[in-house]
Amino acid sequence: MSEFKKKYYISHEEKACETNCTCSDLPSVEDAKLTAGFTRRSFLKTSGFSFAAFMVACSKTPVQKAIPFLIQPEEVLPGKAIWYASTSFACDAGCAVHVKNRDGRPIKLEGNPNHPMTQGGLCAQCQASLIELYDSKRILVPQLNGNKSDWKTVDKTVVKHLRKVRDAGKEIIILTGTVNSPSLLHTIKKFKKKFKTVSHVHIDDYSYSAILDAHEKNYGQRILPKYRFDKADFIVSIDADFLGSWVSPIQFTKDFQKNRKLDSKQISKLIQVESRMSITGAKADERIAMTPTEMKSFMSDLDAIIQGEMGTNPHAKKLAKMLKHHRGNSLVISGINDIKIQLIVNRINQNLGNVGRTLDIKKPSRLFAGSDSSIHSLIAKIESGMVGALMISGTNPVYILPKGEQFASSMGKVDLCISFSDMQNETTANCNVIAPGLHDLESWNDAEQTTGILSMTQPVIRPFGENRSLRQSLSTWMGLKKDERDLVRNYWKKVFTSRVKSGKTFTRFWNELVHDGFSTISSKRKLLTRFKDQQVKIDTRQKNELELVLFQSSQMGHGRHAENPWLQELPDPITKLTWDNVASFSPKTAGAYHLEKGDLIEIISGKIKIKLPVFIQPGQKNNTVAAALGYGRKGTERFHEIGPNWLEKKDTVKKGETVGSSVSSMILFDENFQYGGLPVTIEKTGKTWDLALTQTYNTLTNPEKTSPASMPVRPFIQETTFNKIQKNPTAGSHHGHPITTLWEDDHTYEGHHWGMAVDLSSCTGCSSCIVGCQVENNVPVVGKDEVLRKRDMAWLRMDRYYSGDGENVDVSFQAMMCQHCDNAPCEPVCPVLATVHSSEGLNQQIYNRCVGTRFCANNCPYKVRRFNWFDYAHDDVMENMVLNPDVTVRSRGVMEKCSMCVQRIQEAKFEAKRLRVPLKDGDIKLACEQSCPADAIAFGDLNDPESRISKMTQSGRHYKVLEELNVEPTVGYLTNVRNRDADEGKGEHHG
Amino acid sequence: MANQISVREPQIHGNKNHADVTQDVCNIMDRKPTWLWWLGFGLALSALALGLVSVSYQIATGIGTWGLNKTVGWAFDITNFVFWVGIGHAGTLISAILFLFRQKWRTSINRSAEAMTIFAVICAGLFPIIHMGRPWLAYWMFPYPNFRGPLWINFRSPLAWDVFAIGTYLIISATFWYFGMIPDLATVRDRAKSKLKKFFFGVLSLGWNGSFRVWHRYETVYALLAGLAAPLVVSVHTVVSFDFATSAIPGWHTTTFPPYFVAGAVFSGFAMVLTLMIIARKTLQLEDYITLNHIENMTKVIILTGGIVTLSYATEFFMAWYSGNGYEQFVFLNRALGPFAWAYWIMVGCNLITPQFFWFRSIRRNVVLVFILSIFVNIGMWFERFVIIVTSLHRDFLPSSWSMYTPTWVEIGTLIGSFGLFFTLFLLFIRTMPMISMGEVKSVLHYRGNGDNQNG
Repeated sequence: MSEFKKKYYISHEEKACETNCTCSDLPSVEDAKLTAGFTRRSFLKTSGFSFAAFMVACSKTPVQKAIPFLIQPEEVLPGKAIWYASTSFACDAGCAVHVKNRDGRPIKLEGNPNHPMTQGGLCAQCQASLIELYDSKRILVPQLNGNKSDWKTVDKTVVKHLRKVRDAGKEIIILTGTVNSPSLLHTIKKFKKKFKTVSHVHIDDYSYSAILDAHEKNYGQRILPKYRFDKADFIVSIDADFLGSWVSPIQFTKDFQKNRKLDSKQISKLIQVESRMSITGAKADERIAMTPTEMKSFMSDLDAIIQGEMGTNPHAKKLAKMLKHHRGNSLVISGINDIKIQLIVNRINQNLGNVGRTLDIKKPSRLFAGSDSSIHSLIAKIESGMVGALMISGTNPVYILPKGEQFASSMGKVDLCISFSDMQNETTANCNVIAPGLHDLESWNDAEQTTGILSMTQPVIRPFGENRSLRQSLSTWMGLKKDERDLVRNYWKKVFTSRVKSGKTFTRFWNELVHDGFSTISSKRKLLTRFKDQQVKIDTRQKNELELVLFQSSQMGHGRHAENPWLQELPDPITKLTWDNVASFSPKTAGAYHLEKGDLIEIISGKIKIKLPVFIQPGQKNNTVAAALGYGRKGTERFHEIGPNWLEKKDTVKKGETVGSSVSSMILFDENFQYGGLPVTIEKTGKTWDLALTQTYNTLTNPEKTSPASMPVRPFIQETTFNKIQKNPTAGSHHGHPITTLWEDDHTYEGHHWGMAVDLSSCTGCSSCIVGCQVENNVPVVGKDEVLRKRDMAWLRMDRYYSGDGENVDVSFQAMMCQHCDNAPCEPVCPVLATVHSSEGLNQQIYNRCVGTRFCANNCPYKVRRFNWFDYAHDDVMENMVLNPDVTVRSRGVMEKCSMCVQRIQEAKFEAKRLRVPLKDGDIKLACEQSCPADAIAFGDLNDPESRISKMTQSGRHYKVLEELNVEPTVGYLTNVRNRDADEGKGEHHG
Repeated sequence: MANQISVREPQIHGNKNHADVTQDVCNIMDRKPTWLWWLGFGLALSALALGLVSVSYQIATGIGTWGLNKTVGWAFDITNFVFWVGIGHAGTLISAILFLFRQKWRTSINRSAEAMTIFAVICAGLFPIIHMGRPWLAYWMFPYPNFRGPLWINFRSPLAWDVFAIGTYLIISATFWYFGMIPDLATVRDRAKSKLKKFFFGVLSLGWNGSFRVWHRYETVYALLAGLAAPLVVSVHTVVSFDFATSAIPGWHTTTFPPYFVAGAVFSGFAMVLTLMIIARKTLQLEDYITLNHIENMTKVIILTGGIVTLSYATEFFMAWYSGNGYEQFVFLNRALGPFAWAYWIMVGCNLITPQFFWFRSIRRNVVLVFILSIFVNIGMWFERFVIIVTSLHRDFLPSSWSMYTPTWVEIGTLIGSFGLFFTLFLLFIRTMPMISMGEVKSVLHYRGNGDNQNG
């Protein structure tokens, strides 16, 4: 999206007010005709724009008549997008976004490049959350005892009940996810004052409580530090997938990349210690596989050695030495939610002098505030019958709690259970009132995700139903009649002088806040004590059984997005699995238990048995079983019908069954929610399960039996080490054959010559580019059976190759899309000229000419073309609103592929032409490029020597895949550089 | 020594005269069909019905009803296409090339063989149409004048060449077959008892009156059409082989394909002719016309073309090794030892080993064995196209795209349906058209080679 044409608008309402056009003022058609100078042409124009304009201007009055505007509101043009700044909380971290609005509805989310936290990156969850707005199964009216109701009745009932509870002296509990919205916290405070016996409990989908509790013990305050990966030169992460799913992966990826600039004298080094294979482990310069128990004893040893005592673990010895070498600029973090471990982490960082430098506790993060102990007491309170009302918002406790069913039945003891969810889920099934909340894109919200930075969410579309935010519902029940925006705005007006120390007026502050999507505010520094050392004793006995490792996948979170088909079909970056979760084993452990991929087994702990299919995961620690949280969610039964219907179709899920199995019951909830280390046994069921993987061959090494001596390993990924590349900028590259071309003068690109490059060194494999592409280009969802038949439709795929073996495995990612070859093999073979080459270097696919012979796909050496095997259903009218009107929705029988977002290129070119300014490098951002939190994808004009892409092309690390075929791809790759010594690590490719 | 005349075995056995020939051949059309014909026709029609159902379902629902995927874009569809086109080449070779080489023995089989070619090309020609994602737009493959630019086809595309090749092949084969049949159609007309039959064959025989002039013209046209059709034997399958040879995929990207495919086509075509003729001669009592010599001659062609095919396999392997190209070497190792090795070894077994039996005269002249072996040859040749297409596609350059292929019932139904169509047409042909070229057979009845014995 080019910078110069972004039109930020304050809000719908502000705009409407500016043009003095409210719903009641709309002129009738008759009036319009009478006005002098109103020609038939402008009448047709305005009547065509009426609906769009109506959607834009009106957000309160229900539609009664669609009446064309007499005077078009400024800058509303059909076909032209309007961009709004907002924040999306699809993932817990909350990504700052720019929302693209067309015809009054949002069709794309893109990262806000100006926001200091996420800096323009957008995670896969936030990208995909757009479709959740258009979910036809959303609850759009309040419900009372399972029946549709209206707000008047519900409000009356609720208030009556609340008063009863208050008078009876019972507790009213508001159970939410972490709330860092100052205005909402204020509303809750007021609510507490009104209803006296109110308590607010935070529960996080994935608990970071141990970190917060440890800081409380060490520094007196519950703190989640702000981690500064950009300042850390040596990072040791023990089971913290900070690039994929831990705390705030987008910000961390951005920051991490800042210290990995390969043209500088040194780059950071990342050591990942983990049991399962995560994205962070894949990216790490060195990865050490350990079981959860081993990790704990490793930490204990590391701690001891750094303090100068004895420790036996050889890894601990080596790492302690290196950490001491990096005093003050190292960072040790752990994702283990055990307070003992986090106390050790704090002590290590304190001893290394990292506090205040690579992690900030004075201005900490505010993303997570859940306290495991408060959950214990909450459950106890509910069981004891002390709770009269339970309000649940932004969380699904019946699903995420290990004893969820018990919690559900305890909820029966509570007279009034209110859910603010807008989707039916495990928790709403046990609530007597549903006061459906708004989607992020429909609501006003403020958030202080990190101390000192306030992020703003504004609605970009009128709510589809009668949904109300939590803030508004609570206010109504307190007797305050205010609309959404006023509640937020008035709060900030009140605290303006105390929280915003600038010379601006409030109005100016507010307008800028909404326009930019964020603002800096002042913050109270936490009063911290000096570091209080705590004694910790770790049980280092080795367990001789299978240890269970539970984790959040980067797509699903802890189940929040289970009903999002885009995320269900997004292949997991490591396993490449869709529509399922699995029990992963290392190859050796699988062999020991005689397990094969797809065997359906039961994982057993005490009385809990969970059925999961087996998956073999190279690099996973032996004697561990890893399984992803977030599956087996109620509501996913709806995917029974998804995908094209035909004779041999197998349903994505059998009728009434859910996608995957829930493993939440295996979370060990003692002092903390423990996600790793539970000893389990397994039992075979004798059955097998189909696993829909988008990639089934996982290495660049040819299969043993059929490996030709001349090329045992395919040279598509070039890798080298930082030391080597400093000495030789072309280290790691193969020397391609010099190719003579017969047609040098024939194919010249006089104007633009568009090209792309993917920096393998930056890419973490997070796959948010894939979702971005899917949203932008209307790529259909096909369902599990089609993915199983290798007919997924993704234009962009993230190839993942393993090298090495056993537990010492390297992971390499390669984003592969149409290479837009200048000598494309697909072009000469199409009989009807449906694929041709543009004068600017793009390989074009002309959908309406394609007759579907598929020769082009056969001839593509990169296999990036996708064929529409069926008519993929677009029956859900509401869901169709997410489609991008700039991109054709393809019918069956037609070939499609990455178009290099030609619609964006054209849009930018036309705009530049219209404004009579030259097109600058960076004006056009492709969907994948824009999504990438690591800035790994670059696009630009190869004919412009100053463009980023030209510089990357001239880099010594630049190479092309299958260059020797002389297809002349315009997509290049940059060698992956790991910061390790040559004899460390495994499977380095082709020198 | 003047009395030492080397006597060649007569082409047609049984001391037939002209009237016998007319009688024997036209009787097949006149008499009621036997239960065997009905059985065959019933089976063929059911297979055809299955095919119609499969194809209609597939066109209505989408190519997704086949087992193809993002890596393997062609499998049964193009295998069947090449298989059927290949079969057709035998007919043209017998009709045209053997005519130009003055091989008189072709006369008893050329009519049926040419009919087989036409039916095979019809079967083949259906596949490029139904394999398209949007077959209702198949006419876009033809360069017709239009106002959209005008927008022509891509003349550089092998699929466009296929359109011309198959199109010309069908037209010329049909023309050649029809014109060659005119004297025989006149014979049927003259013998016809019913008015309808007389009228029908009257129209078809274009007023043939058996005079010298029409015979003279007939011979000229025949020779010209033979000359026109002869190069098609080589060119059509060459063009079909270009579908693969011009691509970039290892396993396809090879210059040996044109001669390899043409040889393979003749190989499988002759096997199919043998299959059909052996059944026909037995069930229609035509052993005197389609003698063991005819069968033996055809098996000799099979040895030759089978040998060329074997040589091509060896050349491919040698070139893969000699080239040092890892991708090329991998494709061949994958064919022999990878997941589709079973198909590869069926292909090798059927194509290399089967023809070797024909070195033995006793086997060449054993009708049952020849029949069985001819079926194996066709199985082998079907698998050859399957192996070429599917093994080259399923594991090409980037291993992240490697996948397997399994046919669906719709694809199998379509394959069976193509056989159904072929046999339905052929069985109908036997009953309604003179299946042996009476005029040409009559001209070789007295052929004795070196001597000329006028005795009947």
